[in-house]
Amino acid sequence: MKRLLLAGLLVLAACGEPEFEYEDWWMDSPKTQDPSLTDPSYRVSTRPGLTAADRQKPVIIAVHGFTATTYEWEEFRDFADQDGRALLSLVLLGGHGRNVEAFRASRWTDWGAPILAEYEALVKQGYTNISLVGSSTGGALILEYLHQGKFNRQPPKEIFFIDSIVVPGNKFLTLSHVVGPVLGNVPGDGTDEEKRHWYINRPAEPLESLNDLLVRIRGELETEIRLPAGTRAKIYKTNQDTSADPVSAVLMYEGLRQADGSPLEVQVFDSDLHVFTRLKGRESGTYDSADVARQQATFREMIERTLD
Amino acid sequence: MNLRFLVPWCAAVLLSLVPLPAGADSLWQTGAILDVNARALPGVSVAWGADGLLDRRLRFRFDYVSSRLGVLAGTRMQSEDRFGLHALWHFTSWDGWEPYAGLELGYVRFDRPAAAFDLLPNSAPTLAVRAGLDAPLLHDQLRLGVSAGFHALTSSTVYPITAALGLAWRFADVAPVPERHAAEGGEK
Repeated sequence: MKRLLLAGLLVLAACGEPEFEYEDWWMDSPKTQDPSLTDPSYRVSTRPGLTAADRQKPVIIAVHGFTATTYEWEEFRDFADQDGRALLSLVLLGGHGRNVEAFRASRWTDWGAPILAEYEALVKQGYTNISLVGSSTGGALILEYLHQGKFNRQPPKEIFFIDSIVVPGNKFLTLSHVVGPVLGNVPGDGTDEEKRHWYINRPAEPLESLNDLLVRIRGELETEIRLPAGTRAKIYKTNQDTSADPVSAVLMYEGLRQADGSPLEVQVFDSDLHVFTRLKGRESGTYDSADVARQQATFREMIERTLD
Repeated sequence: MNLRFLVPWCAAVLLSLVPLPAGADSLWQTGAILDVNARALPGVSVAWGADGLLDRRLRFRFDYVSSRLGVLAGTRMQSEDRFGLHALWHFTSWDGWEPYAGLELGYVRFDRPAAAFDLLPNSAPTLAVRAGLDAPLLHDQLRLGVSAGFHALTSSTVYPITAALGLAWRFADVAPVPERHAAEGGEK
């Protein structure tokens, strides 16, 4: 009986408040925040100084992934700024880019709200050529909103899915509702640069919410999601991605269809990178010149497709 | 679960009605199974046990589940096949209720729907421990089974926990393990 009581106490202790360890300069800390929270130029809808000519350009709303920030798409924004033919709007997901407690309190519905807010704001301001690009969980959120018909009022021109997650690489995420409350926190790792821009601590609650989102999307894909008429989309996927299982692209190819029912374009790369479009901040030696060429070619292709 | 899965499930039940040889000292059963993970896959199974093999406590089972019937029924699932070979230990039963546990060696594969996916690995072995319970229906000619497996080896499409729901027909005219012993006056 005493042993049973002790075991019960241990479980209760394990289910208590998780402890988060971080330095002040980590994104987990309240002392470090994503610059988009104070700099209005990150989002096109709030960017000052845009000319009438700028407002005629295509806008691509870039959506980052789970635990990440706008940093994930800064290279694409810089590329687009230099290219000059399109505007990049970097959206910060709800609960992200603030501190780990804010992240812990957030759910996928909170994460996706700023995507819709930016889209609506751009439509209201008269932009007619709006596209979306989502990496990892950003792509999953876009899928969910396509299912909900949130973009039907003014369909996007293009949607790009970069290593979007539908099936997690780590299958134990599917047990998050069981093991999550016991573990409380599943810390990851990263370079110093990644610690500045990604949450390293991953509380159980957002992990459970991520699993909820993915289960929901897998079911929706099995019954089919259709793009709105006039919208095109392309799936980009690396074949050795350990974060978003490459089979995610197969499920999307099967379940996400163009308005006329035809399948989407898909491109699979021989690479082990997750979100191959972000090379900045990675550990040296984890990518090579082929990855750089692939990143640049993808940036160029995405911009050119919005101009067609 | 999508209602359209009912169609393939019913088809699997019909497919499982295959007559098997009923040996004097062996137990054969076929059945329909439904792998009820996040994605429901219907399929068929064949199980065999013999008196000479630890009094039918040790049984072997082969399962095949697939999404192909679901795809035919109009879902947008990927076309996937799962094969499983089980070695199962059936514990003492109570009124025909038989708990069991064992190992499952599996192999899964899925179709690549376009040439662009040729770079993806599309098959993998799996390994699971599985426990379940068979319940008698219709004077033990029909068996209803539920089981859960924990996969030590997962794959792109196989998650750590899987559950299966089965409906099996017994073809041999033999009683479950303990009752048969009781009838012969043997020890349990």
